[in-house]
Amino acid sequence: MAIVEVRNLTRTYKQGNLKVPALRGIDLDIEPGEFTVLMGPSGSGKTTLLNQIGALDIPDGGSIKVEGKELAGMKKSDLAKLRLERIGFVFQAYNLIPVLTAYENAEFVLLMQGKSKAERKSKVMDTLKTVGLEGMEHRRPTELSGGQQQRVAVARAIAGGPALVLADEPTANLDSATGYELIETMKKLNEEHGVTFVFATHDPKVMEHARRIVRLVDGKIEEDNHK
Amino acid sequence: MLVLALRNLWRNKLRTAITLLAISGGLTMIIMGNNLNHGMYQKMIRTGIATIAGHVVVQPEGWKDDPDAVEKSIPDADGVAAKVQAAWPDSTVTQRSFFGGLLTSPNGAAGVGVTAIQPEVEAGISEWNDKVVEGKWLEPGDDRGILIGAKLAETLDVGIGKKVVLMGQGKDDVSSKLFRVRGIIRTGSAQVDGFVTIMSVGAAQVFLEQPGAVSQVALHLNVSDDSEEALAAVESALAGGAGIEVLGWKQAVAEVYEFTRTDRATNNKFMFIIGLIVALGIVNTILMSVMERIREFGVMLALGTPPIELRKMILMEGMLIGLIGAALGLGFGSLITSYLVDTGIDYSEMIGESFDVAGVSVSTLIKAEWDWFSMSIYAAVAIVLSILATVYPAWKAGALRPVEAMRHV
Repeated sequence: MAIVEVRNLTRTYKQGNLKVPALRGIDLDIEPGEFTVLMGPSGSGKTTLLNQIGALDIPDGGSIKVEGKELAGMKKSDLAKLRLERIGFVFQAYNLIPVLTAYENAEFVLLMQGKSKAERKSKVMDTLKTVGLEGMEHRRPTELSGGQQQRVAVARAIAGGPALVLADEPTANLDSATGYELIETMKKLNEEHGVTFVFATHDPKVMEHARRIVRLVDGKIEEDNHK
Repeated sequence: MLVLALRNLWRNKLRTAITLLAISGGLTMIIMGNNLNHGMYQKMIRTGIATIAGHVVVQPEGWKDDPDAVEKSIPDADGVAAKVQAAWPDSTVTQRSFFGGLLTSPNGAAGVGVTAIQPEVEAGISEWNDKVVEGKWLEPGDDRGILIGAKLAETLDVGIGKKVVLMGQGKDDVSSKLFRVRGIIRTGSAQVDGFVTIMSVGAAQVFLEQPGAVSQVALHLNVSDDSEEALAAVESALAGGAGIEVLGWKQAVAEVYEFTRTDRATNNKFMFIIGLIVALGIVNTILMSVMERIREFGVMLALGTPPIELRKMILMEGMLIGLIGAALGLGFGSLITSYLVDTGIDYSEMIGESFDVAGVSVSTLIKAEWDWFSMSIYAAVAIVLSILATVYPAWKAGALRPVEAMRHV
C-alpha cells in the first residue's frame, strides 16, 4: 500500500480578488522507502503539495490519504496527532525553536509524544549521532552553523520514528558542500532505516540522489521519472 | 508542558525579567502605599479610642446626641466601672467626663472643651501625659489642678502655677471654680491646643455638682482583637441598667471610623487607577512576549503539538510569571513595609506635628502597618491578571494555521 495517495488534488489561493490556482488536479502515490523529489520552477506548486501531504494546509478539492487515512474531514487535533506520530518535517529556514538546545529541539517531538525521559534520551542521542552532531547537544541554534542547524532539524524530524519525512528546500540556505553532506545523511537514513523522504527542491544535488523525480509545472505533474 | 513553560521563561531571561519587573514593581508600590495608609487609619482609630473613647464605652443614653447636657450622666460611676471591669478582667477601665466652659484669666478668656480624667489610669491609656511640654501631669487626687493646651495658655497669657477660673453649666445652676495651671499640653494641632483643658474626674464632679457621676466609663482592652466579645460581655453585665447605653468602638469613635472608611474608599479608587495602569503594563508585556513568538508556535503546531497543549503551555507561562512576580512583589513590598513599620514617614515639615480628625489629634509621623488581607488580595489579582493576559494569545495561538504562522516574521 502506498504511504501517500493523492487524487485530483486542487488548491487555490486568494490574492485580493484574484484567485491563484497552486495545484490543479494532482494524482500521486508515494511508496514506503521512496526518496522522491518534487521539482519545478518557483510557483509550480511544490511547497503547496508538500504542505497538503503533511496536513499543514487544507486542500480545496480532491483527496489525500496518509497510510490509508483520508485527511479530508479529520479534526484539527487528529491532524496534529498524525503529524506528531507519522510525519517528520524539515524546513528551508530550519525553524528550530530558538530557546531550546540541539538536544531539546531533537527531543521536542518525543516529548510531545509522551515518551519517557530514558527513551527520549536514548533516541535523541542516537539520532544526533546519526546526523553527526555528537557533542553539540547543549548548543543553542544561534551557536550552530546553518548546516548544523539543518542537521538538528533532520534529527528532530526522524527522532519520533515517522513513516514519512517531508523536506521543503532543505539545502536552499546551505553552501553546496554542506548541502551535499546533509543530503548524504538523509540518503543514509533512507537506505539504512527505510525512512521515506519527499523533497521539494530544485537543487541538482538532491536530484542526483533521488530515485524518483516528479516534475511540477503550473500546479500539474508534467513528468514522473523513476530512476 | 510545565517543563516547556519553565524553560521558555528561563531561557528568555530579558523578556522574563522585564515582565517580572512590571508585576513585582507594581505590586510593591501598591503594597507599600496600602500598608502606609492602613497604618495611618489604624493610628487614627487607636488614638481616637485611647483619647476620647475605649474599645467598649458606657455612656448616658442619648449623650452622643446632646453632649452639652451635663445632667446626662452615669450616676454610680464606680459601680458601673466595677461591673465593666468584672465583665472583662483583662482590660483597663477608666472614667471620664466631657463638658464645655469658659476659662478666664486676668489677661483673657476662651471657650474650652474639658476632658475630665482619672490621672493615674489615663496615663496608661492615652498619650495626654506624653504631650505635657511644661509643668507636670496631674497627681492622683489633685482636684485643684488643671492642664491646658499651649495655644490656650498663650491666649490666656498664663503659665505654670497661674490661676484660671472655669465657668460653665452645673447640674442646677451656673458653676464657677478656681484652678491652678499644673501643666501645658502641646499636640501640634492648633485646634486641639487652643481648646483642650484637662482636669480630674473628682474636680469635674464638684464643678458639675454631680458627685460620683461621669459621662463615660471606658474599657480599654489589652488585646484589641477581643473587642466584639468584650462588648457582648459588658452589654450582658449591664443589662437592665436604666439610662445608660453600651457602645462598641466603631460607634464610640464613629466620626473617626467613618473618616477612615471614606478616606480608604477614596484611596482605594486611586489604588484601582494605579493598579489599572500597572495591570495594562503587565498585560501589554505578557501579550507582546507571546505575540512575538507566533513563528515559534507555528513550528510547534507543524511538528504536531496539539493546539490544546500549546494553549496550556502559554497559560502556564502566564501563571508561572504571575506567581513569581507576585512572590517578588510581596517580598519587596514586605521589605519596604518592614522599614516603614519601624521608621515610618515624617510629614511634620509639610503639615505640622499633628493633624486633627474629628477632634482627635493624630501625629504626622505615619508608620506602616501590615494589612495581610489586602496584600494577599493584591497578589492574587496580579496572578489572575497574568493568567488572564495569556488567555487571548493562548486561544489565538491554538487557532493558528501552521503554514501561515511559520511565515510570520
